[in-house]
Amino acid sequence: MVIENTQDEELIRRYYAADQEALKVIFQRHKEGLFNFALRFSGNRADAEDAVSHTFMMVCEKRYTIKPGASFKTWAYAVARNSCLSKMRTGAKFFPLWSSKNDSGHEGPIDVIDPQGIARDQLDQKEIAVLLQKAINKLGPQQKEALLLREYQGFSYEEIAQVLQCSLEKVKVLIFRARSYLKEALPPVLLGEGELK
Amino acid sequence: MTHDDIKILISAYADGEVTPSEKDIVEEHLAACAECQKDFKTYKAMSTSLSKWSNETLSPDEEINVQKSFEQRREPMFTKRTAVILATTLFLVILIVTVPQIIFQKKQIGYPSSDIGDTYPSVNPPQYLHQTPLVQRTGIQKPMLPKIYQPLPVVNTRVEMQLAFNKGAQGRLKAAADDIGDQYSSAVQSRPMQLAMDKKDSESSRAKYGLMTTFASAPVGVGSHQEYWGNAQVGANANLGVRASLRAPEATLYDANTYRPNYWNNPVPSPVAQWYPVQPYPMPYEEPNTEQYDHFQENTFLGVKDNPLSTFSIDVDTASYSNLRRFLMQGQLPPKDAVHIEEMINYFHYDYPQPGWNVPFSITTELTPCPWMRTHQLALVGLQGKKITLENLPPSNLVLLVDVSGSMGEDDKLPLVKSALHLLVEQLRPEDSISLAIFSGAAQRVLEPTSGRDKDTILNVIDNLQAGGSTNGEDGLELAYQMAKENFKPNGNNRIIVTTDGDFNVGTSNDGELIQMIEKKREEGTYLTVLGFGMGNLKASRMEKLADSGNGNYAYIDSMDEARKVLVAQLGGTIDAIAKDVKVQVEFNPALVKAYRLIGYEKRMLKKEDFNNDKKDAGELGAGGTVTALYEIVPANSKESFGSVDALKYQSASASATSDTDEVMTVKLRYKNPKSKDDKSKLIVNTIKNTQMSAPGSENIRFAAAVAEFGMLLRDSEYKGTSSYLKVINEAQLATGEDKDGQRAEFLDLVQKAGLMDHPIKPSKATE
Repeated sequence: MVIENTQDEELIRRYYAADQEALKVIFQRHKEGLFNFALRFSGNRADAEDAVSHTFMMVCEKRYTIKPGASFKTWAYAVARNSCLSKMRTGAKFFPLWSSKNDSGHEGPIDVIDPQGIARDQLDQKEIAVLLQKAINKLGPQQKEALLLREYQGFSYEEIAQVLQCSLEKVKVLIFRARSYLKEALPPVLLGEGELK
Repeated sequence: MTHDDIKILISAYADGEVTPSEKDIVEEHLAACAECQKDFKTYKAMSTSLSKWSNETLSPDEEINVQKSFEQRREPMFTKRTAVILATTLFLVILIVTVPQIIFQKKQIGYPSSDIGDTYPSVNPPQYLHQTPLVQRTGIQKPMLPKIYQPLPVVNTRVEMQLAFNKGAQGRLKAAADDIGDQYSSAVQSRPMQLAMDKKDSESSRAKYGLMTTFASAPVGVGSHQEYWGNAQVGANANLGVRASLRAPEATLYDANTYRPNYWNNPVPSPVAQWYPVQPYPMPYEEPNTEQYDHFQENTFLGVKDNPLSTFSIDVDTASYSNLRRFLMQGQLPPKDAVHIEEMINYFHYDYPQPGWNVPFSITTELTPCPWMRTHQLALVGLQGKKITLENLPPSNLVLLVDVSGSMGEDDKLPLVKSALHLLVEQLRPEDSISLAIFSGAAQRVLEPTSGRDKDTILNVIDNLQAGGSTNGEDGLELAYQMAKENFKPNGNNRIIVTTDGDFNVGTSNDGELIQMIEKKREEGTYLTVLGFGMGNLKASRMEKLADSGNGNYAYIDSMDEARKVLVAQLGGTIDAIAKDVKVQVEFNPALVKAYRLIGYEKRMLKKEDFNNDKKDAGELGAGGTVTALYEIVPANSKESFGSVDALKYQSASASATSDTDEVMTVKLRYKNPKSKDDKSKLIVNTIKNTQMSAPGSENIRFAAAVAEFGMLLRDSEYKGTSSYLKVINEAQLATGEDKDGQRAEFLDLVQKAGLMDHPIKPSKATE
């Protein structure tokens, strides 16, 4: 399929020329990434879903302008990020991530007693995720965003700089600071000390 | 390049984001610096670890939603300009539509119809006249006209009145009737003039009943002297505490000899009956609000010398709080009699310790200075029921009895009932069974006992319920008790759950008889939970009476949040009792206490001898439930005096026997095990000592005190002391505790709302 390999910007151009299929391809291509980015960034499933839907609403309203050097991907992540931020600012309810799966209410993140003392093989996937989430949540928004885009979305520093509207140098520093913090905050088993799987 | 700069580069190097020249520098440095080597490895390991936080997928619903929006929104629908234009247009349209309506409404006098028997079952004058339009409206209804009625030619009343008074006997009768303010009854008469009624009379009856009186020109029987139907109509109404008086402003001229209508001398036939309300009471049209609350007097201070014992039954009801929340949310202060302070206090959960293994509940006592009256003290008695996890509950045999009468058709009634029952059914276990009966005009089984395994079957039946018809709660209850008996689980929790708006208005549904029936049935071991729904027709007092006499509880459900609280969070407490007939008796030490006042529990007061009487019924405590009672205490050294009884001459007034103890009061509790067969109660005793006094006290007592103050403000109590809404907020804010459910935060919100609304109108100084 030719359309599958087409650039984002080209797809958008086709969509603006009234090709509905192009939009669907764009959506399928980016929904996972945007959603997970927003989910990790806001820590809240509802906000993340809103962010995705808001982003594509902006696409439908033709808010994205096609011009050389303005990548659709970075634009979309910036829109999603802004949507999350505005939700957080308006003091919307802040549910811990793991209660989003069971709607019973008061189940906060699973408490792991003394993570330092736990051997890696005792931590299952979910517990690791909770530890990571707790640590990442303590980062400042910009550090968090830069790190998430790098580690989970595989953005290049150049792209991150576009999303954050800042210089390449700053991206380097942000990511470095985020990692330095995580180095302290995460239990050693997650930092390669001891057996790696 | 400093070491720190290189450190930053190493992070970038790990991502492969360095320029070739930087790369050389970093690689050279790495070879030499062990610290940076370690960092580099850490970054790599960190990336691997971070990837363990796996991706989640967008929920399919949301995905479909977004995709749908693609189709709807091909073009920008709302630019800012169109939005502004649309909003302005909408506003103008609303303005054009509503303004004439408002003006029109002011001029209009409505004639709603309602049914006399349905809405006003009691003959007592209503307590809230302004809310209770009641039967005066019925006076506007056209009475059933007998067949012999025909429109007759008429002349001025005066002629007829004259005739009436000329007949001396009747004249005197009428005067006598006037004197007793009664209807001038024509039953003893044989003349048609009885239909005329003095205007003075009508006013006296109006003054007496505060009701609107309707006059009607009375049609008169033809052909026979006996067929004067007007009096029968009046008599019937009078029995219902209503005056619908009839009179003939234009009555017929009768032939003086035959007393038959004189058709020949009468000029023009008048239009038929004219119905009009008395002018001073124009009633604007509004939905009849027939909510009823029993009036009650607040507990007063009792001197310890005369009344050393205070006895009451516990109360686990919380409906008053949710009800007053509804009022406040609608921007209205609740009627005073709808405010029950103990139900407000017990709405909240307090942090009391769990009981030991061999008792069903723990007792917590506390003493602190009284926040609204600094010279007084405040004592708290708190019970905490043992928490039972849902898995450990005995198997349940639940009978749902759903009111599907016409009055339940509103959005906040049957639809909310259905959603609430969904919550309940979702939690049933396979060993539980549930059956369903409905009642409207008659009671009917709709679901035979079904195991909690077949949730679909149960939910299907619930979803298909529809409202319509009248209400026969008595039949419904009878059927429900019968169904509960058929499927009785000897060691289980046998319970009827009634969902209704409380209007049991057909059948022999005198409250007293209903209660007798329920009391008979509760001996069989079936409990009764009443869930009240809806507004505008709420019979809170009746529902509560039913639940209490059926060994059960009553909760008012105004929203899904409340349904969740009652049916999910506190399900154990709602449907399983751990102690029944729980009574509290407090003995005060006259050496330390001069007088005391129990806050709330007005409906729950017991005689002191009832405490040891195991036959006397009292409240139940559910699993995990808490009950809190507050006493306002006047210390013995206070200068205030209570009661003006002279000192007793023959009684030893000395309190010396007890004066050397520091015990302020002794709390005694009696309860029965709801499961055990023998009907013997058990006793627990606890004391409160003077040394326990602590200021400002725990969060429990501070919050309970704030709630009590709020209640007293809403009741405009004479004991409110220095309370104010602002003070309540300040106190409660410092005592919100963990507040997992946000209930205390909501409380603060309500206090604020009430504070804004409650501005009593003071006489302005300008007029003085």
